[in-house]
Amino acid sequence: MRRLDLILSLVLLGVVGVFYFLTFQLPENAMIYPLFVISLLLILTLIQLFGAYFRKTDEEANMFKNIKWKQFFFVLVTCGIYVVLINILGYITSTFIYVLATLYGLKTGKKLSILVSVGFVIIMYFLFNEALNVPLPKGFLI
Amino acid sequence: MENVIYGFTAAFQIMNLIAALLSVGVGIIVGSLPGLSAAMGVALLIPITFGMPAETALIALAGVYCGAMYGGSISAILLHTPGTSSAAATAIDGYPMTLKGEAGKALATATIASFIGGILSAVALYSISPLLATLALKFGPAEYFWLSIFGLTIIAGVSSKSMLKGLISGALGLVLSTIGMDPMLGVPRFIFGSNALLQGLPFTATLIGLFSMSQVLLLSEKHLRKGVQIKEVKDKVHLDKSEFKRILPVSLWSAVIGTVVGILPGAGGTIASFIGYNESKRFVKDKSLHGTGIIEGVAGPEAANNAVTGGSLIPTLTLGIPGNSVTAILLGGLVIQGLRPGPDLFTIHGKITYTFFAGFVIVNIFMLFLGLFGVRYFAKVSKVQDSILIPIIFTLSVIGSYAISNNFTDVYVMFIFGIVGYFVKKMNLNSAAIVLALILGPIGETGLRRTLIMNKGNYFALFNSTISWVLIGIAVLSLLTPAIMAVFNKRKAKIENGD
Repeated sequence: MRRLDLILSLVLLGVVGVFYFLTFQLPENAMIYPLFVISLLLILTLIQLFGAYFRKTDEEANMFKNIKWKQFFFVLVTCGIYVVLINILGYITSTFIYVLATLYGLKTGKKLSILVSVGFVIIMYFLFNEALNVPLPKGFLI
Repeated sequence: MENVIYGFTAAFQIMNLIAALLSVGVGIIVGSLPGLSAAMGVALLIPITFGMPAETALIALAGVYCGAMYGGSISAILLHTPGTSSAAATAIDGYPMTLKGEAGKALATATIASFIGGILSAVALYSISPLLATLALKFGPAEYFWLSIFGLTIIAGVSSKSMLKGLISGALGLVLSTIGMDPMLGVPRFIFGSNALLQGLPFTATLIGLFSMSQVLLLSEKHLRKGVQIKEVKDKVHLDKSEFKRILPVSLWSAVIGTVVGILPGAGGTIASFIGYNESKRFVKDKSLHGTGIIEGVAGPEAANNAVTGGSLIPTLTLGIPGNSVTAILLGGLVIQGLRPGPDLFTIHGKITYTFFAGFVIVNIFMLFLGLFGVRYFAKVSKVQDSILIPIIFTLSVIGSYAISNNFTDVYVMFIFGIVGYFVKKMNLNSAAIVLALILGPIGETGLRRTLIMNKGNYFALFNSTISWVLIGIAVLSLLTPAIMAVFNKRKAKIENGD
């Protein structure tokens, strides 16, 4: 099993491909340096690919064992929704919703979830708006 | 000298003192929480320090760095789970002490040794960095090119697991560093239709993604840590005179080693602390006592890893070559403040730099006091559940990446690099190498192309000066170091096995 190393090599080859394609759209004298570094990545990736092809063991496979996929995707998706929501609702409102939903979804307990999300939002508001003067992203709410 | 004195008077201004105290506290908390690293703490703090005066901002960043380096020892001693990888060696003797009911003594040892390490590295910071900065005055574009090549060879050293994957990470970083305007011709490269990328990848947002958001994902894939049962600190956090005398020589020696390891780019807290632990064996007559819970075994690694802080700042501030991920991020903070590493920091911006140095000393003093008197409370913080850390780290990552330029594109970049960072860790690639290449890529490119333009395309111009040859020499040496070390370790193992 060395599937993961092969996948990694293919992904990197994809990156190399995209950058190669874009490089050839640059003016000629601007091409040299990018071409050099991309070729460097290509050579190293090819070495990795051959290595992975001829190797029998695959340490990385263990890295993806015992993963709680459901929990992982729950966190990833809520994070994604949160980022989108900020632009619509504003930072403070969406942060409150996001923190509460995540805490609740990760089974933190009702009381603690509410306490943490309310407390955290209040601290953030005062820290950034009042103390540090960092403008928070706004939507149609705050 | 004038600047040194000015530095201390300025560092004692109330704002700087508050920044030092708070940041050390935050650093200790970040360090003591298993799963959170110094790099993450510093990355998240950069946006907060953005609006502060440069010296206050730098003091705050150093505070988190030093605090986190020390804070790792708290959970290593009390939980047998090092808060940061740099504290892994501390657990070997620290946790047995806790089991013996000597947790307080172990924590006091860690605190005092960390303080000694930090202060000694500050001495190095004061004495070595101006000298190195003067050397940097003699650097032309060709020398900067070789300097960046030397920096890149460090990647081979940073990536202890697999050299090839380290190099791939470096090459990937170099490719990513070409995003943005061509430095000589002003042609946009690889901006994927986004004008926000004309300035290159937003550095801080990329870092926050690689180091903070990736951590959120790594935490969420595992069984979540609920409030753990932490061992009580039953005895006093205190060392008596004879115990202090026992750890003083160990701490001083390990601090020297830690400082040197810190200066050498590529090595870092983890390596230093293991060397420090090994060195501590020299100071104990009965070698079998190591691992059973003795104070020397705690003092060695702790003095060494905190000595790395000052040491690692030296090449960062003078040459712009950060040796580890924390200083790479700190360098980002420096640049955001409009400061460039190099000789200017010690002449034109001397006042800021020496205020920062004095602040670094103050940070270590605060660390000593917070450690000796507040460690029981910090220990309680390491009980925080993972499910609370996850949303909090992520919201901070979002606001952190947004605040730098009030631009939401940065948040998207952070999000993408958070996912990239997760796979980088899972695939044994190396985030530190990517960051190093992101910083060094543009330095090398500009150096190379300027040299060629100035010499009408003559590549031999790259080899014209002695400094260039010296840099080439140490680059080759640094590339060979892992191989040499491997041979050396094999021999040592053979000798120890009596072959």
